[in-house]
Amino acid sequence: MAAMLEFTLTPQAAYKAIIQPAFSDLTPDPFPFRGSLNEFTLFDDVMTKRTIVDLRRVGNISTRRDASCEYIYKKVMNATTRFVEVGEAYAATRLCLNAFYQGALKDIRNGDPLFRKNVLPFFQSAINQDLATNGYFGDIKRAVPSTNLYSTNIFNGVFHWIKFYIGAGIIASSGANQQAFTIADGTDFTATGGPAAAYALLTTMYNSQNVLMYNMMDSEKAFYVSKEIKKAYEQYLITAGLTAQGYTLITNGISQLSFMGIPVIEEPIWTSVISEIKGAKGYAAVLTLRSNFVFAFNKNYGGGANLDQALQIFYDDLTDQWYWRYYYTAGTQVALPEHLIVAMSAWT
Amino acid sequence: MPQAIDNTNVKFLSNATPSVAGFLPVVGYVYDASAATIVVTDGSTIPSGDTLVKVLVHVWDKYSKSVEGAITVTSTPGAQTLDVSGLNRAKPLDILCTVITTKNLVADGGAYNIQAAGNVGDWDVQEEA
Repeated sequence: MAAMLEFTLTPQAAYKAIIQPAFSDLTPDPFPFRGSLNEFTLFDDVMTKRTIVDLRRVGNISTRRDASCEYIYKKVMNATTRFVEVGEAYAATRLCLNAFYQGALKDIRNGDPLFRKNVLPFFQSAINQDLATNGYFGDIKRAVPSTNLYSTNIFNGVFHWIKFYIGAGIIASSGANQQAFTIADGTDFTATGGPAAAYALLTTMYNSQNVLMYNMMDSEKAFYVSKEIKKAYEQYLITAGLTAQGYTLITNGISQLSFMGIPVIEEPIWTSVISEIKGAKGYAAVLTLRSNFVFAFNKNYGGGANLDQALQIFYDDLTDQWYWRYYYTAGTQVALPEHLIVAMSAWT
Repeated sequence: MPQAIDNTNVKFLSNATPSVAGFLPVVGYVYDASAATIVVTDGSTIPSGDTLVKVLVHVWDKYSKSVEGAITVTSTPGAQTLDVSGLNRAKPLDILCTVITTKNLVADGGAYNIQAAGNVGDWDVQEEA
């Protein structure tokens, strides 16, 4: 007998059930994934490539009027050469029930409400974790051992693009307009000098803003930092006798501080992922406009006989196993790299 | 019964000021297509007691790119050469000028779809506070 499809979701339904909640500002209560993906701008219908149009308000469109009826029409928006591209990927897991119900579990083999029903929430969380780790750290050129905890080579993430723009000179790494800094290897924000170092880092980044960025509203910007940097900064404020003015975001339970009016948002997964990639402790801090990171997805992409199924859950008689399969496309980009200050450890 | 028209506002009409009436802006241009330059020369008639401060010149192509220049001395000695090689000249260019005098007389004019030589016209003259 051919594989029995127990459950499928169309791409649009899978997008609504699995992907979209992870990017929303208010994550539904029992949703298994908690992270900072809500800071991304989500394009959900990118087929292969989409140009990034500068959507910030454009000015300088006025001209003095003369006595003719002729007018100079100025271009308001340009589609730039920056575009966000998506790559195809899939997530697949399988479960052999016979192998699972061995040993101590053999006793409950017949009476247990099957474990496999619990795989779907695990799957939801695992996909979103893959999207988050790749969304930040993905680099398709990286060789990632399959035993790694985090997936980081499925599609290019924003740090790949940040390094690209540093290499292209758009984010200066030296000189008067330096906006890219290095956190030296061995820096430890949890050591005695950590709080002062964290404060100095945030100050340097704050003072490196270009004129345009500096004069934008503070609430439109954010510091995205590794947890250690934020905790060290919090410690600095406490030691200085200041109440660590912070607030806890109800949406994802992650507490935040502010620096000179700019929110300091803690990225819970950064240190773990960087450490795994680098092989040693590493940190990162980014000061940029909120929603500067773009995440492209195609909510109409699917597989199956008619290419209209994104999530498939099925049991195959021949191999005697349950399979879960999810097809998706994803890509990232940085919309305005010139308004981005970054300090990070070195990793490839 | 005859009624007088309220003419208290007439004295504020721009052309009622004698100084505006005597102000005749003239800006000539010569466009050398092969060398990609435009030479603009000011020849405005400015009432006595008043002098030219500046003529701001903008040359636009039809694709939203422009080149700017300024004349500060009237006639040939003050002629400015603008380099338009960076503009897209597949379609004709436009020139916009603003002539400004010391006593704040301002004239805005334009020459559209320019040929080899001519004068900027369609002047909108006013007294700017």
